Amino acid sequence: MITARGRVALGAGAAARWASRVTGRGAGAMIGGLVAMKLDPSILGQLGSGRRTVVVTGTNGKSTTTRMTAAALATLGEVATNSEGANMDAGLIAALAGFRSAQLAALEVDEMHVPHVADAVSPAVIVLLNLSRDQLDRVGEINVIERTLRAGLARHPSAVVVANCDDVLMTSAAYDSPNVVWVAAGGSWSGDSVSCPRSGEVIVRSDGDWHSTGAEFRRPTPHWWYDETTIYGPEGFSSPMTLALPGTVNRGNATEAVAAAVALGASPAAAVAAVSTVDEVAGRYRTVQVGEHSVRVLLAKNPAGWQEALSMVSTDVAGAVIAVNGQVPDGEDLSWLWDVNFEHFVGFPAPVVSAGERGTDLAVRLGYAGVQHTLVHDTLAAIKSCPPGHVEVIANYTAFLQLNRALA
Amino acid sequence: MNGAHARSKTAVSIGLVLPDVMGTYGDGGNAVVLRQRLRLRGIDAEIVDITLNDPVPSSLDLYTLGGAEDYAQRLATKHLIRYPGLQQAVSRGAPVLAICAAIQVLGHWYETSSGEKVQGVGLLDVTTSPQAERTIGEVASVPVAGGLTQKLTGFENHRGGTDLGPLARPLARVEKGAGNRLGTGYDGVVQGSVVATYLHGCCLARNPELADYLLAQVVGELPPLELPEVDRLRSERLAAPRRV
Repeated sequence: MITARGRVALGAGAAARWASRVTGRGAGAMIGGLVAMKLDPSILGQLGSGRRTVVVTGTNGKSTTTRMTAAALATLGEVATNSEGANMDAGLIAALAGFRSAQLAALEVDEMHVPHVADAVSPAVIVLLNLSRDQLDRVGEINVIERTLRAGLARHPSAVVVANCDDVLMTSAAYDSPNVVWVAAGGSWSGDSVSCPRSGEVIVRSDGDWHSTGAEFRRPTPHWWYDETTIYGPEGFSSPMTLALPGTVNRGNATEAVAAAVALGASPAAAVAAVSTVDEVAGRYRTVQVGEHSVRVLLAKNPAGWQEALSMVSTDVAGAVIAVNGQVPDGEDLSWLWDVNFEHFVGFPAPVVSAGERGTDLAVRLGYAGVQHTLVHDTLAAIKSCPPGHVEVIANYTAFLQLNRALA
Repeated sequence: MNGAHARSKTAVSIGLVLPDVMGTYGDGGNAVVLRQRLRLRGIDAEIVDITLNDPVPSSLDLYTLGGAEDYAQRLATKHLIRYPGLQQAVSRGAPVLAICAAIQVLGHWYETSSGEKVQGVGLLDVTTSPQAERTIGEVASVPVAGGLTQKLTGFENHRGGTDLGPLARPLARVEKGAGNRLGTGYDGVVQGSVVATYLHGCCLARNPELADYLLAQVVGELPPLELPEVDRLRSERLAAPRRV
C-alpha cells in the first residue's frame, strides 16, 4: 500500500521526529509529518487508504469529539488518531504513520483543510460540530468556511455526514449531502448566523427550532439528541449517559461521537459507555496539584468557547484565574473579550484574577463589567495569589500552553 | 443642549443598533463602556438593544453601531433605511458612534468585495470600495476633530476603503496603521453629531476621552474618572508594534 518513495519519506520523518524529541524542539509529531510530506506529497493518501476513517471538524470541540470518537471506535478495533491536536496535514500524517496497522482512524481536521484531507483519505464519516468566528484578525469570514466545507463534501457523496442540526452554518454545509445523520448537538452561540448562509436573508429562531426566510432551508429533524440524563438515537434507542467531562457542550460532542461510531458499526450502548470514560483531552479538564492549590485548566479559544467554559466554572472554589494572550495563534485582536459575558463573574464568591500577556485588556473588560478582580500577569503567580484550595483556570490557546509547560 | 436637566429624572438611554447583525467584532462593548462611565459618576444609564425585529427608535439619547460581515451588513443597511429612526435622531443632534462596517453603511454607498454597489443610509458624505488587501492590525492616531487631545488606539480589520466627501471631516491622523484607506493617512469621519472610526478594541475601552466626548453632548461636562487599568491598557497598546 505504501510506495517505496513513501517508505523513504516515512523513515526520514521518523528520524526527524526522534531528533526533534531529543533536542526538545517542539512537538516531534509535527516535524516528522512535515519531513515525510516534503519527500512524498501523496503520503497522506497512501496512509489513509484501506482504513475506515472518521474526520471531525468544527470551530469548537474538535479535540474532545475526536478523543470520544476514538474511544467509541476502539470498541471495534485499533484506532489511529491525532491525539496531540495537530490537525493539519503534518499532524495527520504523523498520527496515521504511528498506527500503521489500525483499520480505523479518528482524525481531528482544521475546517479549511477538510476538503483536501477528505480527497486524500476518502473518509467513511465526516463529523460537523459547529462554526463560529475564531481569531478575528486571522481567519476569513465565516461564510467562506461554510462554502468551502460544502464544496468539499459535494465531492464525497458516499461519506456519511454526521452534522449538528442546531448549528445553522454546519447544517448548510451538510444540507445537500445524500447521507446525513442529524444530531441535535446544541449550541448557545447564534451571533454568527443571524443571516442565512444560502440566501443572505434572516434566520428566524424559536424554541430551538429555526428556519430561513429567504430559502427552503430549515432545521432538519434530528436522528440523535440528548438531555440532562439520557442520549436518544434512531429506532427508539435511549441510554443513560453520564460523562466524566463537565458541561452541556460536551454532552453534544459525545452525542456526535456516538453517532459517528454507530455509523461505522459500533454498538450504541458500547459507544455510549466508551465516550463516558473520557476524562482528559490533551491536558484540558485535568486537575493538577500545585503547592497548596489544586488547579483545573479549561481551554477557550474564541467567544463561543469562552461562553461554554464560563458555564463550566464551579463557584465552590478558592479562586478563578482567567488568562489571556494575544499571540498570532490566539489572534492579536482581543476585541472579542467584549462579546463574552464576563458579567457572569459579578458577585463571584471567590477572588477573580486577570492574567496572561494581555491581562490588562481583560482587567479593563472585567472592570467595566463590574467584576471585582486583581491583575497578575504571570498565570502561575496568579494561581498562587489565591487562597489555598481549588482554583479554576480558563486560558486561551498560548496562555494554556504556557501554563501546561509551567505545570509540567 | 437639552441634556442634563431634561434627563435628570430618567436614565440616559444608549441605543445599541442591530447587535444581532452588527456585533461581529466586540463593538457592543462601546455601549457597555458608555453606560458604566455614566454609572460610575452616579448617573443612571441603560442600554437599549435594537434588533432586526425592532423598528429603530428616534428617541434615544445616543447610539452606537458596530462592525459586520458582508451578508449581515446588507441586512443592517436595509433595516436602517426602512426604519429611519437613526436619521431622525441625528437630525436633532443625538450623538452616534459608528465603527468599521457601520461607516460604510451610513455612507452614500459601498461596494462589496464581489463588486456589488449597495445603497447606504446617507448620513455620512462618504463612499466605500474595496482596497487591494485587507488592512489588519494595531492603529495609533492623533485626533484632529472634536477638541480631542489624547491619541486614539484601536485594532483595524477591513477590506473596504472609505473616501470622504467635502461635508465629512477626518477624525484623526494615522501614525500607525492604515485608517480609512491605506495611503490616505487619516482614520474616521466626523460629520454633524456622527463620529465614525475603523477602530475596534473595543474602541471606547481604549479611548475614554472619546467616550466622554460623546457623553458630554448628552449630560453636559463630566468630572474626570480615574481608571488606572485603562491608562495602563492605553500605554501598552500605543506601544504595541504593528505586525503584518
